[in-house]
Amino acid sequence: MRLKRLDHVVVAVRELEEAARDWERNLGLKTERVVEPAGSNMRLARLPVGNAFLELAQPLAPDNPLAAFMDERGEGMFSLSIEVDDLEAAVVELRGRGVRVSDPEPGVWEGIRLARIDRGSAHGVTIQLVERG
Amino acid sequence: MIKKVHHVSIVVRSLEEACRFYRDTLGLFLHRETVLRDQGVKAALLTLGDCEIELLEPIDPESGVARFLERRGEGLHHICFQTDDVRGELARLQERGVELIDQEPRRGLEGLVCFVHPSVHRGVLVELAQPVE
Repeated sequence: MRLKRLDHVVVAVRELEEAARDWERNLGLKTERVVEPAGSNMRLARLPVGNAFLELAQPLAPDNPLAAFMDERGEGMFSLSIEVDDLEAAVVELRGRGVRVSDPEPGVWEGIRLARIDRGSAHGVTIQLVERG
Repeated sequence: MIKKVHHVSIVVRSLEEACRFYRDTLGLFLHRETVLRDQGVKAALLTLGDCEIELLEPIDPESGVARFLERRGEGLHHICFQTDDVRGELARLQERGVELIDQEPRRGLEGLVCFVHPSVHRGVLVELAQPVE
């Protein structure tokens, strides 16, 4: 398994447009796209920076991991997404080392599949492993 | 101008234990370990593509990082963006009147750095860094 690069950082926000405006005005990070993927109950903005991007994520329903996170901790950085070459192999390898990882599933951004490493295994950080097809 | 994500920082209770996961289990290359006395932390830097994962363990119970750990537990602490003009970025932020932790760039692990208060980006502590040869 090789972790290739940081793909994106997810930031939990309550007001997507206002948050996006702050990032642009303060640091010049421009929103490239805003999407509401079907079935996700989330509104997402993508702000490219270098060869990664910030994903601002606003939950649109209360029964959502992101909303639960914000109830507990408030707005802020939620997870890291890291690109791997072979998602299935990475999941098998990590499980073999005793790490709790979810089954691979399609991501909300097209062309991405992902699996989540449990926060407890990763010292309080939710890490998504992503494979780009 | 912001060029890329320089690193993402994670607060942990023990660098040694966290390295067991991030270095040994995930296989990230640990390229530097150091003590930052002025910030009351020990740091380990791991390479992730063209950026880094920074693990921070508090060594001073009065430090901001120790207080973060006590209040919130282990987890994502800040994101650092690389720029080639940290003074220019800082001047723009001062002009906008946003709350800054550093009014002047100072020497940090990554060169000249400054921190922007987490309230400015809705719960995200932002560091700006201009690497110095």
